Amino acid sequence: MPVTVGGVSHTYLEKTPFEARALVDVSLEVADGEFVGIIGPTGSGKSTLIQIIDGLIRPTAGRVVVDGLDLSVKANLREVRRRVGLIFQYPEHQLFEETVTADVAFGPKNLGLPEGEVAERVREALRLVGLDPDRIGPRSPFALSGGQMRRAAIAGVLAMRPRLLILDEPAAGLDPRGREEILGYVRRLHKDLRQTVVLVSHHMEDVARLADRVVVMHRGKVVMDGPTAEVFTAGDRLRELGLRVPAVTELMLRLKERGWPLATDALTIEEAARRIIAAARAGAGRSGPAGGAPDERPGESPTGGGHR
Amino acid sequence: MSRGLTVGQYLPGESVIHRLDPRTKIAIVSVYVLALFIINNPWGYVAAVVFAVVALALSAVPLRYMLDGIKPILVLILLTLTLNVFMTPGTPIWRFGRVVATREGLITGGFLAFRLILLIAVTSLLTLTTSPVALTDGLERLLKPFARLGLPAHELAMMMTIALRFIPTLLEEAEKIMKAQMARGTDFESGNLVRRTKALIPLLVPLFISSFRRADELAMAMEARGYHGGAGRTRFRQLRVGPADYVAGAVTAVFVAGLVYLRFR
Repeated sequence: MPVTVGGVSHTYLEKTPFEARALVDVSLEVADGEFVGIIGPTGSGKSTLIQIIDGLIRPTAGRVVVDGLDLSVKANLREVRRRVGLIFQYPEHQLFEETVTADVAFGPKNLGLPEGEVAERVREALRLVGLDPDRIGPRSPFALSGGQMRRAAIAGVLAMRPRLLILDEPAAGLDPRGREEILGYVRRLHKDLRQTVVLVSHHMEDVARLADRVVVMHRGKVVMDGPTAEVFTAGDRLRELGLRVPAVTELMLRLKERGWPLATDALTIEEAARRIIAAARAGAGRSGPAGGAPDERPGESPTGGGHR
Repeated sequence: MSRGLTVGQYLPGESVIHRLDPRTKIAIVSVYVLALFIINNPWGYVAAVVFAVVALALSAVPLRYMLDGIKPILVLILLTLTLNVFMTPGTPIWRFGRVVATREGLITGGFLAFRLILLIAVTSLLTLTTSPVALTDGLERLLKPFARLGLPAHELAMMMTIALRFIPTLLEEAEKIMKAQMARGTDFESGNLVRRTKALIPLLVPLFISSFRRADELAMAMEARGYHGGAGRTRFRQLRVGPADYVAGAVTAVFVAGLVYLRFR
């Protein structure tokens, strides 16, 4: 579902002493079937931007068109919210029903769908996030584990069959396994069902692995926008903005610095391994860069500690 | 995030009134409020207004903030005024069928409305010039003598502090959940009363749950830092009564004595 954001600015509490500019002249396009990652330091305007796309915040200036619907027309807001599925940070905080099934059904019921259709969508959505509708469905959402609660809440949005799915840090606060699971489901939605996805995250590795395109935000502006590999290869620029490069890219950049003849656009460990092996083989005949010096910057690990 | 919430709002400043000991301020406001009810003639009201105006001027709080505090009770004031004007027997000044407005009614109603306005104005000046922490500190100290009678002064003050601290947090949380449910198609804005009330359930249930969770976490964090109630607890901020407090106390005493004289002379 195409989204066009044109010259959008937003100021919170305009004309009060608490005025805060969140977005400054932001323009952005999302094409049908695309997977766009939005990254940027805290306070860069990511959350404001996605809420504007869902019609939850009305921008102070600029134009937003979602699926042909102009968001400046108030009558369009409801329809846009039906077509866009927005999953906030810690979505499990919005669970409220007595059973998981009832909670997941909340969204589709608000769409005014007949009961049979609702029930079918609930089962489908629960399966999409790996929850058994017969076993988990009748339970109270508050009796689930943290990861299960998160997935149940995500199912609640998926059951509305949004044409555009926006996720804000969907894996925040989960253990590595929970993180893998959630992101696995997101990836499958995109790959198998051609779901258009916008993923907001601080976690560079996740964005690198999943997104086709990356938008970098800084102080309310879009500062970079391009294919994932291209954006992450610009390591210095990202560091300037207070962001980190994915560990894999960091490794490739450093190897290249030391004279390895590598393409630095690898985004997954597998890709990187293939490139390194190829480079090592190519260099095996010569004296080769493989005999490189030990790390000249001790104490700093290229794989860096966790995400910010 | 929420504007228009001025009840209990604190306006930081460095004025004489801001720097008064919170205990002094609480005591003066309590005395003032009681004194308002012994006034029975116009001169008393003049004195009360002068007192309030001087306090406001000294505090350097813009008048607008004080008026904002009065706004919510405007309906109540108008209601008392109207009831008094039409229900008090006396000299008729205007009549509409069987409804009669009287001179006496206008006078008593007017005074009553005046009393309410002054009451709210001065109490809102207290909260405008005293930070919530100082306010609860002062209250705790003032209630301390009653601790012997079994009144949990420290616990009450702590509860108040925590409650005040969590108002903005809860507002923020409510806004977040509201948006999340709006994204799931809830409509908080249209429909009849029953529908709108029903639409609040998806907001209130998560809000309650998160409040309980927060309470739990806060209690645990407090215990982890060795909190065990009021007994033997020392304070980082010491309340100190200074010259300004004595002056303020003296002025208030003269004011009250004057009112008593005006009433009983």
